[in-house]
Amino acid sequence: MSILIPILVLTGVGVVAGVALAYFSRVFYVPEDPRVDRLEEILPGANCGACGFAGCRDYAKGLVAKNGDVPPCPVGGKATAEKVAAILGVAVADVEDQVALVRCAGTRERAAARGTMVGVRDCAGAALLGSPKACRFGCMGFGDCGTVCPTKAITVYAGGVAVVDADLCIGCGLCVAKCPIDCIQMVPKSRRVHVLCNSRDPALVTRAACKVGCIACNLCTKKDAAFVVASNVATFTGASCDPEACYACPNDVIVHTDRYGVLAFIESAEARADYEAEKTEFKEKEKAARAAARPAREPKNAGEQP
Amino acid sequence: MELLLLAINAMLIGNLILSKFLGICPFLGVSRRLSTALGMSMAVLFVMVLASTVTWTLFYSLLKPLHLEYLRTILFILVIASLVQLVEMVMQKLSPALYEALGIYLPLITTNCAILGVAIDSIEKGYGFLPMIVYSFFGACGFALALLLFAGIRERLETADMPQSFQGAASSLIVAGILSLAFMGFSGLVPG
Repeated sequence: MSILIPILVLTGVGVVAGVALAYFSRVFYVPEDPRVDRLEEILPGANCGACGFAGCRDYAKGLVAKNGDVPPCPVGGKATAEKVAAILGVAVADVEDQVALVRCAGTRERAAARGTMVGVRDCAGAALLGSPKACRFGCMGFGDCGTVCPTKAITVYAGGVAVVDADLCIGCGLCVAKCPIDCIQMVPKSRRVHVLCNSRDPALVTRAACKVGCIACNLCTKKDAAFVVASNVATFTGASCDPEACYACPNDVIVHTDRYGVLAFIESAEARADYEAEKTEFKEKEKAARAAARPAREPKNAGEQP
Repeated sequence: MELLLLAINAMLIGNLILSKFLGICPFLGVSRRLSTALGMSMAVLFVMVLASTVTWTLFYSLLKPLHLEYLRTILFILVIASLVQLVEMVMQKLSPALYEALGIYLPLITTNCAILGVAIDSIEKGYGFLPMIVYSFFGACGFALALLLFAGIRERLETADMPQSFQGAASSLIVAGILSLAFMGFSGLVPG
């Protein structure tokens, strides 16, 4: 019989506490803006925190409190921004869907090695000792970015370089934060042209470290003004360009995704051979055009000579 | 005089964090910034006194007469958890400003071992009502003191030039150890 007393006491206290809580939650009910619930419904619900708030509900509260005047949800992109604007009754902010891009094409065959990583094989550890590659800025290929990716969009392929699958990438930016050497960048999803190099070292150092490094030669900027060279590395800032402008690069670091996927451009030998052929063909054509332009001047000189 | 000794003992000599290992989680977790540390300290102070009072009353009015002392732990957890929930609700209604200020820390300390530790400790030591209040209040003050000191140091460490292998958690734990070492010096304050 005595076993019943503790059971009763414990149950009693539990029931009393439960009933009291239920009762007081009614008495002290605080009505919340109904828009918060509606906003939370249309947000991605990944609770990734890329917006700077502690989860999607917190972000919804922030949206309501500031009446939409907070940075847009980087995961939801344009579609979510439109829905948010509709609920809040404000104008749509100008947002573009973003995806991550690993700015390195330095596979094992192309990039010189500095050493071999022994011990825990992750980027965070390797970064403490310096990259196993001769290039300080290239992808180390241990795939820390892939482990934090919520959609498993990043894979390290045979060449030892991480590549982002732009179709799977939701643009949360977790990999950008994780990469200890800042090799990953967020780029607009609509951008078709990428400079796949991140080396801010001067040309001589870059060339010694990697066959496919950007040496900031400025040849691409002469072909298309959307290429910008800063800190010893070129970056494409527009949406797209003439694929032939990419052939200007002497080290083949510029990929035009209308022609080749980033993955194929880095990993596939066929795509590379294809690219080489096209580049040679284009160079020949350019040479021929230049040759054709020159004789046009000669007859004029010849005519003045006598 | 005895209460004064008890207060000093609870706050400095037997500091919850630095000599009893209680509440290490918020000590390391919310000490990145001084302002959040202050919020956490206030929340702990408030909940600790309230929880100790309620559990003490419950123990001496319900458990002791029924000889159910062994139900102490589970019952205290239950009571503290519901109490914090209740306080949160009341606060949200009556004082939204305070609710915002304490924020996430209030529900967090529901599961803080320092709260339960002090509640059980004051029963174990056989304190009366007044000593129990003093003990829990100054225990929380000691918690706040340690947390604020630690947060202040960590804020400065953030910008300090440090060898890479010491950065982050390693230096924080080393600092915690040194702080604990410093608090050991208080043990000579009260003879015996």
